[in-house]
Amino acid sequence: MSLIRILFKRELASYFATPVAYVFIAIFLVLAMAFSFYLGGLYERGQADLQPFFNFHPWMFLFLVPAIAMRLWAEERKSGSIELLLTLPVTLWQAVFGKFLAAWAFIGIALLLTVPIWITVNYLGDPDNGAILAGYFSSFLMAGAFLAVGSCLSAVTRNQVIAFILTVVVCFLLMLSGFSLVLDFFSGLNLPQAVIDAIAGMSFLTHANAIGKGVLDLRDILYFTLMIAFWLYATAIVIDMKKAD
Amino acid sequence: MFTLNRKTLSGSTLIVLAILLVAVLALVNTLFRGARIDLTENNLYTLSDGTKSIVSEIEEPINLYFYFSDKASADVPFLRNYANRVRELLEEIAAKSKGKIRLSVIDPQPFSEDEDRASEAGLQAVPVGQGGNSIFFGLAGTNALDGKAVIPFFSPDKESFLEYDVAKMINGLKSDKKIAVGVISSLNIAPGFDPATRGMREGWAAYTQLSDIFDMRMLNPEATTKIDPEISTLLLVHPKTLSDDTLYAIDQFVLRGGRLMVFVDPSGEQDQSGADPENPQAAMFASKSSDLPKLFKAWGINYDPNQIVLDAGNALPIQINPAAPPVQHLAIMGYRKDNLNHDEVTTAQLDTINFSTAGQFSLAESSPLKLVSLVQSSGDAMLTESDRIKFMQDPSTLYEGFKATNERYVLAGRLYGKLKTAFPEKSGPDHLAESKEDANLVVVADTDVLSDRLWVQMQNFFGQKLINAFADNGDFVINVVDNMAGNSALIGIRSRGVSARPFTTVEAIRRKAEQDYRNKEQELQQELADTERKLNELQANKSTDNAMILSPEQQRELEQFQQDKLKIRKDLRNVQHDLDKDIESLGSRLKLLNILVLPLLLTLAVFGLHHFLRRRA
Repeated sequence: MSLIRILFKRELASYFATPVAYVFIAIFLVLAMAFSFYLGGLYERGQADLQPFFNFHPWMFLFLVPAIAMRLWAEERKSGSIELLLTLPVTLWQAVFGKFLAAWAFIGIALLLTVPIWITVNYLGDPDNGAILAGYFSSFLMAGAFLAVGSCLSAVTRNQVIAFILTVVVCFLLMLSGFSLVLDFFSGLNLPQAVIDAIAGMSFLTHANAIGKGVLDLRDILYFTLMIAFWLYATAIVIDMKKAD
Repeated sequence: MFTLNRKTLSGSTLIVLAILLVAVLALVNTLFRGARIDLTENNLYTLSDGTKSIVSEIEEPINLYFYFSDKASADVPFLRNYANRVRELLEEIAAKSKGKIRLSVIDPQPFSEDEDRASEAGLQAVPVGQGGNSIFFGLAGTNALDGKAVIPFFSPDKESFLEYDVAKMINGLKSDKKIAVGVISSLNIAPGFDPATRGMREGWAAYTQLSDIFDMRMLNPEATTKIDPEISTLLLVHPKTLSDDTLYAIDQFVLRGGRLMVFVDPSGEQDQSGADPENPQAAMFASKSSDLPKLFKAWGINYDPNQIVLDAGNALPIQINPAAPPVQHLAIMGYRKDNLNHDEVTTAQLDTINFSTAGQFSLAESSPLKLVSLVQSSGDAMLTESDRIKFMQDPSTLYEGFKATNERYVLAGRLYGKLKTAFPEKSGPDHLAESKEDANLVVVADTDVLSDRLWVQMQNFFGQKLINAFADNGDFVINVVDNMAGNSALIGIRSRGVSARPFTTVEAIRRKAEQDYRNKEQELQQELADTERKLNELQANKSTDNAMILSPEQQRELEQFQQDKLKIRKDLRNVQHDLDKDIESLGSRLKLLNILVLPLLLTLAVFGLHHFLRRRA
């Protein structure tokens, strides 16, 4: 466990050693705020909640999280440092988990820095802070799931750009599967309702929305946990498979 | 023999895992229904214990049909939000019922059989939106015994009582027997034989309405020694001559968990006591007050039958002399929204309840009960001797000595809590010394509130009696009896908060801006009027003196005035224009702060923190 912690600390510190981290945080904050105020009309709609803020998170994560995830393994492979990492006295699983946790924590920090908008709605009205807390929690979980997908796909290739595009595409598909657009298409095929429900059940959006309403449903939390676990396990398998290359 | 190489093994492991993941997720979805923590402030997504207990007691299956025009409501997002909330609540209830409630969600398309069925069940099609589409948004229910119930339309402004309404409907579908309500009354509220006119007497409108819904049973005030166990709710109206046995029966009834509604009055105008054809004066001197001293004392309720509430804040105008203007009668009060408790389901939806010569309640310090006011006077009120009413000719005399106490008196309230018997000396096999569960009482310090003259006009329409209500007294009584007679679990379902949360800060700015605008507008209008008046004067002077020629001074003045007039008009337009300026500028400031200033500052702060930590390490 302490090995994971050491790896986690080293990785997290390395994020802040480069200007990229600060650029990322600044872009994330500016975008999140601009989206909520201009596209979401947070001020004009006059409701003291953070719905317009959280509504744009999936779409922002769709591009920003893969940008962080792409360098998780692709860079290590390209520079060859992966060989070094794997000769250290850490298991593959520990390495995958430690790196993932560091990246997740980094996104968590970026998310925490959006606290001014929370203060803003509390100044403007009397929001339901329980629901806002749930919103942050669901947003963080969803980012974790995106990141786990990115971690796996970043291990597939040594080209960061390819890793980025692959992650965006897979995450986009996983998001869309809950949309009525896609569901209507499937129900047009006369598939049994259970299959359609299962497809809808695979969507990031449905689960994140459910938590964002202020209700922590065990099913939603299990969904994200299982998703993260699956993609991390897949990361380990992929790295193991590619070791020979 | 062949060996799988490492790659295919891992590849197939991944595929197997992926399939496993989908399967496990599907399983999780069905297995862990309802395992959730509700973080919302008002527990919007959690069923109250009352609803759960009602749902768990269902024996025969109940069918619920939730109609919502999904397609037709596409451009009414706020209604769709609310419909989602309703559907989730219904699903949650159905999930908790162990299959006893079968919920069907139906989207009635225009001109379809579903639409016909919805109308037939009693749902209201409400035209919403610009397209003029009619939307069905209601709930119909049936049980195995041909019982039917309907919520014609889920109105978003009744959101706080959503769960109560649904639970009440389900509770009603559980059995189809009319609930028995006992009545002990010294007033002739029920229809019966009238010895004075030797004819049939009609019951009071409130009673007639109650008997449409409930199985009303009149009990003898003097000879009732035991209250039928079938009776779960008892109405006690103007108790005057109750025997000790009857009081004991009521005491035990309440301790057993029976629900009691008491109407007492310091001065019951319908009280005929002392009426004697030989001596017309007797009725005037007879006491018209009622009280329940023994039980009130044991329960810790303070009520004084010799005092009435005078309320200048809600006094109703009464026409005494047809030639004179109506007089505000301090003892006849019309209570409106401000005086009715919005959080109680019995009063939340009512507009007006009229009271006449009412008393008031408070709790003694030793009382084991909790008092929730249903109707409260304004602060502009005081108490006075009820005797002043007795021989009063002119209601304006009530103003003599009127001095508001700033206390808001409780005219009607709900009481709950554990009670002890008022008859500790009695014993017996069935004797209860204290209540097992919380007792539920409603006390009202007025009996006139029930009488027709305060809330209905009766009209005879081709032999048909039409009830024309001008106040909600009848609804109030029905609501309370309905609430009390219902499942005890139903009483416990409180109203929930509404999910709308406006920007209070912005509203305050808007209100202030509007106020400023009105002031400024008035000021400028005044100035404009003055200027115009001066101009006219000038013009008038001019025409009398030398009509055609203007002196240079006059000319200048005229121009000056005209310029002033234009300027004032412009100012007024600007003020109107500036109305939203404060709000907009607050918005711009917040946007600038949130979108640019704070993100950059925070990023810099993280940068600084990182360097600080690194240097220390």
